[in-house]
Amino acid sequence: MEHLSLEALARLVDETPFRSERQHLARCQACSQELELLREQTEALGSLPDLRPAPGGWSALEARLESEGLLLRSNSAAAGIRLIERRRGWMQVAAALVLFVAGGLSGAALAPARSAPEAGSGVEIAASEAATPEEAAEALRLAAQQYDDAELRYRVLTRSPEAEPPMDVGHFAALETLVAALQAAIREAPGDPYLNGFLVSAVAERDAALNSFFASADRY
Amino acid sequence: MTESQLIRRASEGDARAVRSLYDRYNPRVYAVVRRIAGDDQTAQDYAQETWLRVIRALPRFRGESKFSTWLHRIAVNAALQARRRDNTRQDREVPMPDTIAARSTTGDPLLTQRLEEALDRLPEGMRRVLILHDVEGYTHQDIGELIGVAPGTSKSQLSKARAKMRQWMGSIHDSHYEQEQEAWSI
Repeated sequence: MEHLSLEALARLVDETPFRSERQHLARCQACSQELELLREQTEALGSLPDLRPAPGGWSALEARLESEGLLLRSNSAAAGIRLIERRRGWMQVAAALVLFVAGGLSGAALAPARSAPEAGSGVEIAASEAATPEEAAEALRLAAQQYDDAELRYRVLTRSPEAEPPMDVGHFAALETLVAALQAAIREAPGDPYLNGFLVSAVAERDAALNSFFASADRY
Repeated sequence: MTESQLIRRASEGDARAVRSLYDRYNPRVYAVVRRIAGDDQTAQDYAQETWLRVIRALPRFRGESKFSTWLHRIAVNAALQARRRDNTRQDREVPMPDTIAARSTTGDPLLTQRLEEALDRLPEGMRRVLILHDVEGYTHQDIGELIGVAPGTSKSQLSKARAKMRQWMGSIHDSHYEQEQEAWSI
């Protein structure tokens, strides 16, 4: 009896046999057995275990990805740095605002005779709760303390470990905003000595920041 | 973190997300490219090539298929193309693989080893079809698209490969089969 070829049997692992093949298989135990072994072999191939890599493949891949710019530095670190930078900017703005407001209030309170406050002035707003000279003095002390704190904070924030310019763009922008706000306020109350005092201080500080910025830019 | 979040972050270059994907899927990537590559060093190269392609293509991954399916196809493509590119494979002594085989589902380590060795001995054309079909589960249509042949050619190569494997694994047939095998070629 002529057997089915091994290739034909291999085809029958997952294909329907022709009638002649089916008839042969029905009466040939050797071919039936061979077909069964081929099926087992195919099943065994499908069950082959995964060949696992030796450890250490990541380092080479990481270097390659970085060299192609496909991998950024650790995002958590980057995000942390960005967060610190953002917070630093906002803290500088806040410090600048507190510095000027508190400074202005303190200056106004320290020199009452130089420019007598009028109704609705800044001092009255700042010390609106003060009913006695003692309370006003306390408000003054608090304002002075805030001023000192703000100034200290401002100096810490703007101090650079290296050659960082003493002013940054965020600080300058905050001063610009402050100047604009004060100018708008003065348009509403042109004679207000405190607002004018704040404006003068703010403009001076802004100009100093600008000069410092240009000076540092020249160095680079 | 969900897989889609991981993929999105990885596509933005988040190193930790890329590493997570790599840790999760590289064993499977390696497994498929290793069989196509035939040896560990080449498989390492193919796996790296696969991941480079994956990370480059991640921004275009739309989730229309499962990520694992998409990745697997890239791995197969990368390995097949690399194999064609540096087709310097010659008749060689097949070294014992350095890779660590996971526990065989057949439960027969000797059978696993003999299958692996027989796979490595197959001619290239038969081998890749057998791996893709019987090991990786691709259809003849898929294989035709992957390697650029007609599905009928894939079927034919598969039958030859199975027969060749069977012959090496130990035929119960008479010697006329062996004589027949000698005439087979890719």
